[in-house]
Amino acid sequence: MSFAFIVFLIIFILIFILKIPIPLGFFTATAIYAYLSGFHLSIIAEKMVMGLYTKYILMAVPLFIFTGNIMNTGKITEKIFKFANIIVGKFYGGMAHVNVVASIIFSGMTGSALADASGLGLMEIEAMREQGYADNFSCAITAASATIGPIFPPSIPMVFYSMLSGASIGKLFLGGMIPGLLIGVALMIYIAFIAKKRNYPRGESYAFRKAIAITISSFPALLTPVILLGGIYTGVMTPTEAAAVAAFYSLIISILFYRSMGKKELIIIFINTLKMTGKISIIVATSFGICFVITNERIPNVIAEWLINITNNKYVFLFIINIAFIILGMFINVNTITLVFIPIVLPLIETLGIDLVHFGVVVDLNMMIGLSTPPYGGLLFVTSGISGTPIKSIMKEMFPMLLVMYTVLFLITYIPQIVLFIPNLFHF
Amino acid sequence: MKKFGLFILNLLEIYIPLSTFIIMFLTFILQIFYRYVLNNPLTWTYEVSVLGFLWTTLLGSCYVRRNHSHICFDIAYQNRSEKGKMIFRLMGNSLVIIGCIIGVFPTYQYLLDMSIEKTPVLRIPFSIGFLPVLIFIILIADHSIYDIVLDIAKFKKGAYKE
Repeated sequence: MSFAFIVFLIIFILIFILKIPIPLGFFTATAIYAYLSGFHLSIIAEKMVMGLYTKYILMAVPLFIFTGNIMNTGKITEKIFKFANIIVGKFYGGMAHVNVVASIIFSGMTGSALADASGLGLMEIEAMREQGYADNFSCAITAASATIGPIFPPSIPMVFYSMLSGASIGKLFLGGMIPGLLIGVALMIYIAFIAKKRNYPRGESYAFRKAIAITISSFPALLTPVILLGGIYTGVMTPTEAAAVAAFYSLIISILFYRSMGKKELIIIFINTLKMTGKISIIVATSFGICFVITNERIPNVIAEWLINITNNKYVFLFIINIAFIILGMFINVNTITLVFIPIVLPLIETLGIDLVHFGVVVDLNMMIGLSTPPYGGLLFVTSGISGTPIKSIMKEMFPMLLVMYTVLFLITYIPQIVLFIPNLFHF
Repeated sequence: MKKFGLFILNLLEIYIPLSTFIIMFLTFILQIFYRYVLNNPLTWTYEVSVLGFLWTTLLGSCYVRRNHSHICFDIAYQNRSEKGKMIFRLMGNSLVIIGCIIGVFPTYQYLLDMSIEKTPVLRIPFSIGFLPVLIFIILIADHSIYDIVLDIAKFKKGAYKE
């Protein structure tokens, strides 16, 4: 281990102790490493700009963020919510079921869990509060259902994984479909059980005419995932182009059809998109420097040799990886984990004969569950923030839901066909 | 002078990246329209959209830094006293400034070297296309220095006394 790498590791740890903004910490750690290793320091700038310039798929990220913001500001989210209500609202614990179904539909339009929890989540928690649900349960189910967002296609973390691993983004998106739906179904089974136990109310039952009227009014909003996913899988558009078309379509229906967006709202959407892009994409840009350090120090090889000495059984390996990523996910931001830790284990995936698409979906689901896992799951903070409910009380309701989601994670880890069944039907 | 400085900052961190995002988005739409509707693909759109993305990301992240909204890990930080937090901030900002100082001149040199290379279709010099990386380093250093100055001023006023 070189002196430069030891200093790099110390700075890397300091990023987490001193609360240095993660991308700026990455930049600093790489710059100091390059300086001490005797590299020409232009390599840092070169890695950042060339990474952004050549990875075309990355441009899908701001476009997915843009679509999510349009949906949350326009009336699209509200339409999805109303549509979900006519489907499952009439059951016991109806509003909690609506929460899950709305998240599944929303997840087909944007690839971000935080966009789901912060936009749709507010509406869901308020509606559940009106019907007498405890706030901590409402927050917990909102956080849990929001995890479906980046599992069901499209998905921002999968875009990053595809860029790092070379796995087909189309296949990754398809691979996330069944696991995303499985999480939804598992959560609904749990809700049905809890609703009976706690006597949660039935929601509104709609007359046929009213249900049809709501469906017609929601139809343009519901077409968004059809356009997005249809565009990708018919081979008509690349995922990045499909993201642009979905954003354009949601903009048009918000302005012309729902008439819910004026100049003021549009400015807010653009500013929010700028902020989110500046927040997420810069981690990607600076992580190219981290990847350079990791590769230069041959860290993936060292880790691979070490892990192979422990086991060369892929099922044990997947177990170890799942535990490691669950722990990381409890503390570290999803994008940081993807961009820093995935490249370290990637060489082993191929050595052990694990399918890249299968592994990508497993890790994605794992990290999304991490977003809802105490003590520092981001979704807990979002739902707590928008509802004013203390995190501690949300945690109490969260634990059984986490068990439900970990069961699904276990299933997709050890039965790869759950993930690979749909991608194998397509040829890209 | 202060107003002018703020205008320049807003120009670099808000107006320009907002414009580049809108340009990137519209270019995409145009590209799709020409390719799939008119069956006449445009060759220049890739360069515009990818450079728009680069400018949006690098300059937009400076705005995020100004608002202290970057993703951070704050378990250790939150458990400190106000004075402890200030010391952590001073150390963190100093480290970032060191990184920026180390990186700024080689980056400038890199851009000078890249001025002879141009994008294949629009012939935009890469020194212009990649310019935001230099602005990024300078603005991040600027914000970090500003935060240190603020912390020291508050410290002198006794704001962090236990």
